[in-house]
Amino acid sequence: MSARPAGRKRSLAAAVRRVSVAIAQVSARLLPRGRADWAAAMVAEVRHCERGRDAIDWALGCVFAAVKERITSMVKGNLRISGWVAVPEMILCFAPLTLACVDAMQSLGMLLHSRVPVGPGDWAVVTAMAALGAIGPLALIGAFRLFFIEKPMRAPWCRAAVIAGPVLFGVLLLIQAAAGWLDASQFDFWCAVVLLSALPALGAAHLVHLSATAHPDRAVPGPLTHI
Amino acid sequence: MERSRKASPQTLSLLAALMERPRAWRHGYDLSREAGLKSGTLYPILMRLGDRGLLESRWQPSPEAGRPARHMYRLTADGAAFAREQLADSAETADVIHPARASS
Repeated sequence: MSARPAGRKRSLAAAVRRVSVAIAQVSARLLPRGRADWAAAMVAEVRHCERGRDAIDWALGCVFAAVKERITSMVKGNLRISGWVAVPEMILCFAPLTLACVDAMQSLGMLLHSRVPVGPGDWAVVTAMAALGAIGPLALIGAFRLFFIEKPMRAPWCRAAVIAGPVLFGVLLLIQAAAGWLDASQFDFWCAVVLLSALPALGAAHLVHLSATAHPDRAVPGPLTHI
Repeated sequence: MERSRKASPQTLSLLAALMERPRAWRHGYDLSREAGLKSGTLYPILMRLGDRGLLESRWQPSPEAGRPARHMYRLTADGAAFAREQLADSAETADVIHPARASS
């Protein structure tokens, strides 16, 4: 066998091993803090697997075990979840509100440049929606600060704002429905209430809860970016 | 010790593997192969046994250079009694699980 294929085989094996360790480290991030020793055990064991394929199998199994463990700890009432779970949750909760904010700001721009006279009620609604919708991107920034650089949301007014914003947004939608400006019999209306008010409000409550202490509940300490 | 509820077939496989050499420290990969369990099944069982004080663990430096220390496991005295009881129960009910054949 020539030196080149043997060298290529070795580098492939090393790459597979690196991938398996990276997968095992994901499981370490998913496990709750109380399982730090187990997280370290999983990562160490991957490095002892004889074959690359065994190492990948082992690492994937570890991720499965970590997910099971995380779900068990959440079912028991522990809302302090891993950043890997919380980041998609926060995106799901606040991305629709962020898009609604962008939409309201575009509407505001159109009203400003409109040649057609606009009533004060329209101005008030669009301005209020743009202002309350701004909670969406602000909450996303707050969530990313918490999970990536471990800077919790400390200011009480900030915590109150991220919860109150989506709630008031929902109230505003209901007022518009009561005034007949929006059709509450439409499925779209209730989708908007859920996506722009209920879901962000729940996400905000969770974000405030997670901000209560400086460190997320992860088996591996340190910012999420440091693997 | 109070009588415990019946263990799952996977737990029985693991207990049987641990009882093969009750006083020896075993690592996860070895137990996985002997019990026929994948890591996704093995670790949750090990964690539960540890939580209940039935399993003890320790870190052992690797004899091979450049390899990290390994987490080793063995049953405690309570764990061994629990394993004997569970394995005897499963034998009584003709529900013997052979470690190598148990599916994960």
